[in-house]
Amino acid sequence: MKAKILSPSEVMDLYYLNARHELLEVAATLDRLQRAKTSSQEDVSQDIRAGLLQEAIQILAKPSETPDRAERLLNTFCKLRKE
Amino acid sequence: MFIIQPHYHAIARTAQDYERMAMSGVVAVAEPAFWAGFDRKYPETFIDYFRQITEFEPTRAAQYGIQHFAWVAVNPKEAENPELSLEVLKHMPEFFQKPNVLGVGEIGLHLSSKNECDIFQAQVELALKYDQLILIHTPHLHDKMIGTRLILEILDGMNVNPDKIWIDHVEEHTIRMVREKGYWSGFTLYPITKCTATRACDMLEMYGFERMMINSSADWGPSDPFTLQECVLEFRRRGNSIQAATEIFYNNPCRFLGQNPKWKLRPIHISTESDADGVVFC
Repeated sequence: MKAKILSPSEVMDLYYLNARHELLEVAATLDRLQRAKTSSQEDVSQDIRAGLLQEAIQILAKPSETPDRAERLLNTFCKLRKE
Repeated sequence: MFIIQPHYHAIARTAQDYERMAMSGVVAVAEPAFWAGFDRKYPETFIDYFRQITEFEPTRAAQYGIQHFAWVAVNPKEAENPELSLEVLKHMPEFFQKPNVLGVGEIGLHLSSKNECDIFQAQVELALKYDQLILIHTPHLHDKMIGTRLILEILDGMNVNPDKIWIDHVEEHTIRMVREKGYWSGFTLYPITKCTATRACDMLEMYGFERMMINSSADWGPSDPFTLQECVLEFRRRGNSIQAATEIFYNNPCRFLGQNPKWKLRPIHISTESDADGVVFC
């Protein structure tokens, strides 16, 4: 037995609004970070998290030959691990 | 703390929502008139609906110690039927006399058709004639920007008092144009298709507290009245005081809705809270 694979339009019907919502939340988070940097003297040069988010966004922004974006994002976020 | 849920479609919700709201500090709700989930055929259907939200719903809310207020209107979706709408408008003034009716709402636009614009304008004129508060719905999703612009253009051509107009469901791309005109802005918190708690708090930071209200507008679709309490938590989590939270989630609704003398709740000031570190949300 195999799982049913949705058609492209079924994927959009089921997930477009969710994806839109989640992208808006990411956008709002980046806006919040930018405003925070503008109004604070805090030194964040050692905090790599914002950079990781940007790397993740670059992964999503480029076309992908294989549907492995989620996996590549997770590998990117692994860089936060302290050795 | 005390919370007011200023835009809530109680008719679409079970009693358990009242119970949860009561347990979490909600002391009053205001229920605008909206789409029934299907297009009504007769003016009497509207009139009976108005009776339900002005006569029955207050008794349901009262069982949980919650004061219930209502608005009457032809909603933007059903404004597409102007003949029916105009017939309903003839009956609305009798509901303005009810002890818990606050004004005309929710009116506004859905797809921004000519019929919708005409009925929107007619309802604003009715509200002005009877000195009623006005609650305006801005369209969903990709229709919101164009509909909000059109609403503001229509209002620009009328002799309205911005103090008495609340434009709801604003988001990041519509809030500035609403605030520049001096109207009250409402953020509506839905799980997916409108604003969220985090984004609402962001907009409070960017634009301040004046003339801002937040609501859950819980209705037939995926929605949850508790998004309001989630927003209270998010707001407090960012370090804002209980007094600041009270300004947004209680006092501002009192300031706007209190322009109708039927609304007796008044803004409150908490005089003993400490802003020191370690004060927890309560």
